[in-house]
Amino acid sequence: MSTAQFDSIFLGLSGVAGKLRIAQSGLGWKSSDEKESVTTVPSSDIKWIQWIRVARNYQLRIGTPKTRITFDGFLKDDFERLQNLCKQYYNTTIESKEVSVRGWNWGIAEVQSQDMAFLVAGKPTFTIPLSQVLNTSITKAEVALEFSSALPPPPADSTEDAIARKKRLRTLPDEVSELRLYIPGSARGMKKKGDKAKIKAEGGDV
Amino acid sequence: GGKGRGEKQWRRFESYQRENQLPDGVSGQKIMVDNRRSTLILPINGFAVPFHINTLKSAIKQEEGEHTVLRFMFTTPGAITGKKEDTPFEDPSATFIRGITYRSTDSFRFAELHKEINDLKKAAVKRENERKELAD
Repeated sequence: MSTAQFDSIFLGLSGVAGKLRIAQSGLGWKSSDEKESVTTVPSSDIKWIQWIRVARNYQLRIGTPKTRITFDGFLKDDFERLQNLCKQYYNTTIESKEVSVRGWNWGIAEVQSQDMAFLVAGKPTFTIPLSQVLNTSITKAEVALEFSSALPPPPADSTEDAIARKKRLRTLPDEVSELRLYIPGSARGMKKKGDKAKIKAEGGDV
Repeated sequence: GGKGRGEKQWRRFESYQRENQLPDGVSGQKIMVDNRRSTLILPINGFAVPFHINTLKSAIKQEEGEHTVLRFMFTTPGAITGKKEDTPFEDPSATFIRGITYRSTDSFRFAELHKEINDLKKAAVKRENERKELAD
């Protein structure tokens, strides 16, 4: 059986595109940056595959025993070809997930294995890896999540000039540093436990 | 009149009906404004997440050392607004996104965005006030 290739595909949040090859033995992604090594997923590691709309068109999310790998940059029309390839090579059906684009800020925040997902009217609007949560704080009915950066750091040798820096920053996404959720249920809970909480607070325990 | 004791109704709004209506510009993964849809689109972990301007309470810009910080505050129940809390919600018991913060070293772009978003918010508030006046 032959190998299929998809161009202009991004691994994770990487700003540099590459080629994704799909073969019977597994997946291989090679960055257009020659310095980077090839990322592979052996077919035996492929547990599930999802298809979802993201900023860079469509994303293939692949569940492996250890982690979840994402490839961005597919076109809507790639779906059928990918579906056939994944069925044929990995005996896996791609699950197509619809996202909410309603523009609402209310729904359900839910932990889905390694991610926190925010669902609006039952459909995800985004997911964010829990591993990126640096800090959490809870005050009354509010939960604040502070995130670490998932973006590549600037070159360590600091030889980058102003123009190169500007160019690098332009390819990087804007990144959320903090997300605050209001959870009314916890507000009611707090009210009931109000007195206890007060005593705790007076005791200096935060 | 809207000031009576009658219960206010939540008025439905929607940024997009289908995901293919997202503007092409979202692929840049930068904060952007879609004026036609009265929507700001925020990049969150590779997703393009629309927020209708009706959900936005305010956008605040701050300078923190070499970073410019944009803080989006969204409308939620239980927020202290100073005035009487009578904003209707579609589902007050839901979980709400109350705030999203971005940090950037590109102060110029964040300043432009801040202005663009505030202009969109002002226009939306103005339209809403005109609608209320007509309804009275």
